[in-house]
Amino acid sequence: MKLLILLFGLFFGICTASAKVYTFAVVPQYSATQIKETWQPFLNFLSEKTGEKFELIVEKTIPLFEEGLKNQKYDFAYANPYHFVYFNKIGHYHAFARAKDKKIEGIIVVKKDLPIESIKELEGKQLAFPAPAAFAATLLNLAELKKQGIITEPTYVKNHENVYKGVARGLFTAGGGVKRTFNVLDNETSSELKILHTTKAYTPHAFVYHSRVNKPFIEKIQSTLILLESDKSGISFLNSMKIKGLIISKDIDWNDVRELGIDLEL
Amino acid sequence: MKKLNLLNFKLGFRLAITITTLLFIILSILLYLNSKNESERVSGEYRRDINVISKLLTNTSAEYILSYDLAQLDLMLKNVMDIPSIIEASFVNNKGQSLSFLKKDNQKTNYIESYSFPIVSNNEEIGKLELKTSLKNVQEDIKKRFRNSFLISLGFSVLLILTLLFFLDRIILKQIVELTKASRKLSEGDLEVSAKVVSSDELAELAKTFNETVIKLKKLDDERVTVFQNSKLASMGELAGGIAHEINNPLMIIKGNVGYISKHLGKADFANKVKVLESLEAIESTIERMSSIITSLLKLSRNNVNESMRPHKVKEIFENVTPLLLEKFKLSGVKTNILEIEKFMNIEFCCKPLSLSQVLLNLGNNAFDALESNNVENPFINFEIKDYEDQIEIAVVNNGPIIEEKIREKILQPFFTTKEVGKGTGLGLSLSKKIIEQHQGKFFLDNDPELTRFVIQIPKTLNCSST
Repeated sequence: MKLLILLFGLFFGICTASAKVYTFAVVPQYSATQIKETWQPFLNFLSEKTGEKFELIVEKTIPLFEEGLKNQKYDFAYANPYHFVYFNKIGHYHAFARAKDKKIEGIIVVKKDLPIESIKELEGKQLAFPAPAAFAATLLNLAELKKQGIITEPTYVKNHENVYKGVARGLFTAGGGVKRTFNVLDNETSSELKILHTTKAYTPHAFVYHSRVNKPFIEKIQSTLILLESDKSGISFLNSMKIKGLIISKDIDWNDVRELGIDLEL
Repeated sequence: MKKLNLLNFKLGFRLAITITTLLFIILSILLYLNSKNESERVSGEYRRDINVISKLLTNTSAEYILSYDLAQLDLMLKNVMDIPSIIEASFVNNKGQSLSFLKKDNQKTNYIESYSFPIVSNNEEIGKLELKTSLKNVQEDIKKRFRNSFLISLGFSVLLILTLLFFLDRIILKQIVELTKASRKLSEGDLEVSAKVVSSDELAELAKTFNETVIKLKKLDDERVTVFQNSKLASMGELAGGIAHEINNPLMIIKGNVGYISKHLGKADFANKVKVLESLEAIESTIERMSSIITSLLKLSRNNVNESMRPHKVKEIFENVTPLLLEKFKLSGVKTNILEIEKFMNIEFCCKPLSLSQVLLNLGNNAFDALESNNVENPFINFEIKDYEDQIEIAVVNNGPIIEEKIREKILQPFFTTKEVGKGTGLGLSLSKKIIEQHQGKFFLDNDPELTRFVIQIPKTLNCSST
């Protein structure tokens, strides 16, 4: 009997060890709980449709996430456009999907009662941004300011909320953010602010894969994305992300971002 | 408490109020001092808490200040504002910019204290934590507690008053009430009174002493009555001595007339009949005179020490002494107006008539002795009555020698006499004075330079119910 149990255990162990688990990291723009609630249904969907296992990775900070990409730690990732462009340039990661009918834009906010009407008036002023690599809030805004020859003094205040609060309290002349975070601001802060400038719309976050993942598997995944909109877990994911669906993408789809000429070292 | 009467209520209430007020004042002072200490203690505790909190905040907030992490700073201040005494808190950076500021809506204006704690990073001050506190809530809580304690002590005081009243009534006042009742009866002249001993303490001792004093008083009063009576009997004896001697004269008259009647009773002529009738009339009037003398003696010999005060006419006073004095004066050739003061005889006033008769008898006797012992020529003893609106004045006047000044001073003292040994007791005038004083009147020797005049003045307003 003991021998039987041992043999069974050995067989089961071999079977388990042979199953591949793909890591899927998500850029930590929200809390870990929130990310898990949104993304776990998507990974469940993928597992179901592909028969492979996926493990969700949520790093504590964006720099740790960037570090993970740099170290090629993840098989799959959901990264912001600049992350993708940057690590794609190195050659390890490639895009396979993005949100349908969605573009990404940055905003510049100022205090309502300030007589500032144009971003040109921000010349030489102190501006707040969440983090140096925050794509829409920091990189898009700074790139456009730079394009127009406006030199500002950026200060990084960790997150969008701090940007808006800092501007509302008069600590900074202006701040960079995105509409989505601006719209969910508390009344006390939002009532003090106005949107001075909105950047052009750019290709949104990228679903990327590491080049070590075999191509047929990527194609299999891409073929299942159309089923998202009719799947229970898929619908849950799309609703949480506030997007209509996912479309198959190629690396060149982010050329608009590349054209910004951002040279931030990650 | 049912037995509480007005007296022990007054006394007990005063005692209870005094004790309770003292206790209440002491309690209030203690409560006040305690609340003051409490206030200082709580304020101290709050200040210590604030120091601890500020240390914690300044240590952890440096990083957030440097990175403008306003959300974290807000969160820290939000937690700080949960402390009831803190009403305002802010983080200020070294540029003087307010990074985060929170204030409670219901701004307190009392007991405000401001604090500023530096925030240091790498030995450089990068900002400040500023706090404003108000201990109003705390102080109000302490005040409320003081007020409650005050009310409790007030209630306790009322309870104490009632308890004290109850026990004072039981322990002290009952005996005092007994003593008061007995004293009141004693003051009304009741010498049979005794205070009931209801306890076994010092008050009981007092009650016993009171009872012993009453017994002694009774004894003294008995002695006083005896002395008074003896004195009166002495006066009367003096008078009666003279009268007894002279009463033989009317008896002789009666005897002579009886002999004349028996001698002429057989001769039935008209002249003899008239003589017999005249003799019989003489006998009758002589008997009447003797009868009135004896009646007066009888009346005056009665023990009149405790006679009561009632409305009487002047006539009633004089008719007790007139027969006695008149007979005596007539026999010695002393003139008197005692029968000529008829018009005042119906004046009525409150008095003890027998006692006043006793005074008149004393004065009449003294005057008579003075006249007789000094062989005064054309001696007279007159009685003067004056009816004033508020008093009646009776004076006994004689034309004997004027009393010397040094004797005048002592004349009303007991046992002082100028009469020869065995004749006077020395109590007549002092007892007379006492009797007049019982009538709330005055008794004195007038300063008449020619005549000796003893004056009695008795108020008409005297209450007849008094003794």
